[in-house]
Amino acid sequence: MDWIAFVELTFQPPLMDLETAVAIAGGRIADPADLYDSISAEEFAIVEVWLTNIQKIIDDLTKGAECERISAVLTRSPTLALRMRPLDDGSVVLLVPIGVIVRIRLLAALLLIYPDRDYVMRIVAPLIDERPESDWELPPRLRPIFGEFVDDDHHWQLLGRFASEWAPEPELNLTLREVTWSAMTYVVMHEVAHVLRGHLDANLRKLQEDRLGHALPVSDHEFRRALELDADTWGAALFLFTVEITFDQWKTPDHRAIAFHYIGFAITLLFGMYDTRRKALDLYAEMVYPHPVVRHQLFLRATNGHLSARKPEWLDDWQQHEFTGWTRCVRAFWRLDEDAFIGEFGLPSQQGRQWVPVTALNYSIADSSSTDGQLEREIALLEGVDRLLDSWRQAS
Amino acid sequence: MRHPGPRPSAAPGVDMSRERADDAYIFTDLGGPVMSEADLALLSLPTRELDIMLGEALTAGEFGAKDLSDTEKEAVARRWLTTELDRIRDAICGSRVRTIMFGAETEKRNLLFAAVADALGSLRGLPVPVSVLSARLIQYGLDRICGADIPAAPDGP
Repeated sequence: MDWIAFVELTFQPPLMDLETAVAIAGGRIADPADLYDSISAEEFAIVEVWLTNIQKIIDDLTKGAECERISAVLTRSPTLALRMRPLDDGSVVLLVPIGVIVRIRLLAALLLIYPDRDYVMRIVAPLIDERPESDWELPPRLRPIFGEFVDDDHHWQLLGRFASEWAPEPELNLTLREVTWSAMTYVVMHEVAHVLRGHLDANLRKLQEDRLGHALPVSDHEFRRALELDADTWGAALFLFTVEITFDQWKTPDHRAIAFHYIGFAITLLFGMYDTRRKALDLYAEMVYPHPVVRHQLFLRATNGHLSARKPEWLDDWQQHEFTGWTRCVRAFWRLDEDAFIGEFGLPSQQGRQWVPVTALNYSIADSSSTDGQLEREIALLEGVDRLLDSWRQAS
Repeated sequence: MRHPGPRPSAAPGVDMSRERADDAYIFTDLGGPVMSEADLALLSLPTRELDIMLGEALTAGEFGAKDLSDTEKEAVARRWLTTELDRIRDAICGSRVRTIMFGAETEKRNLLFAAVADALGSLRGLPVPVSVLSARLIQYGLDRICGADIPAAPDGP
């Protein structure tokens, strides 16, 4: 038995070359026409320009830092999950599925058509209620946006059908580009934060500590969750920094008002889209990511902190207009739930099954103390693990 | 916990989660203890479970902004198997596995499992547990992999 080989195997994550990593993430996009018209050639070209620009920003951010080089690659997967992984040449690849971009765009088009007004009926349940997954079902016509995929081509067909059925009005295109830019830039900066904050090394160090039998003050899932909280926090700051350096025109209050409104809308949409399964706050206690309501609160905490330090003159505008964007998106989600409930997006596949809200972003006064308490616990965890990582950095 | 027993070994014949006991292993003519009972239990798992385990291994070093669902892990495993099929075929189809494969009776399934794991163990840098991969390939059918007709993805392994 080659024990050294075994130790190496267990110490290291599976490193692979760039092409294998891209292949298992869905492969490169050979031809945008291959995406069943879920995105037009013009919009696809804009996505490619966005990726080129974001790569330049990533290069600038990582140039002076002692960290791995990051390459962003667009893949053909219809998944919602953007991933980042280390490669065998010491660099890192950021795998950006075109699926998440298409889904954000289509969902934004759907939500933006709902009038921005309140209404009396809400279909929600308290976040503290646990619901078995067997009770929920996504309305069939919303599955292309929120649902998982069985195979790539089948899901692209569904997205293509959805795009033709809910084709956005041409006058919405500019707004949709802003929303998609904001959501995607934030999620990319979350991944960049993992690299800049040394999380890849931290992961390896954690494995070493485990192997040496050293007891750490946090469990495995708490450790990983803290890294995600850290990436959310620093990703939010990097995102606003990117906004600041990308758009000169946002220096005027009028432009800032519009920009911050759509950023608020986009980030809320992203968190709302990301988890359609677990609605109850308690179901997030043992997972890697906090509840979307809590994640959004953390986003606000991080962005307010960043602007207070760097751009205090923007802070009032930010708080005012991000809030209107958040409100608009949450209300639109409620309207979407209402339409789902009355059968606008199809009927349940089995008798006795029921719709639950398409998003976990359900707010109610009754839940506020629970979510505030959870937020405080997340911050305490983040600070605890931050101290641990600092001690590791100093020791090395 | 998906796996019914201890964690599947990262290399053939190794189970780090418990004390080694000789009677817990199947001995073959391939040179000593090869597969633990926990490894052998993999053979009876549904294909989907094996794919999810492969997908978990393949994405273990990744970060993301949301959890990967089991369906997504399955997709990752299927894509990886398609990518690696030639290398896997080279490893197992030209080896003594072939001899066992084509002479195999049902009771030799465990022996076949060990032989496949042994052959795959020669591949450098496999980012998945060899025992899980071996079970998955046997479930798919070694004759289909080593035969002339190799179906393409998504119907592939």
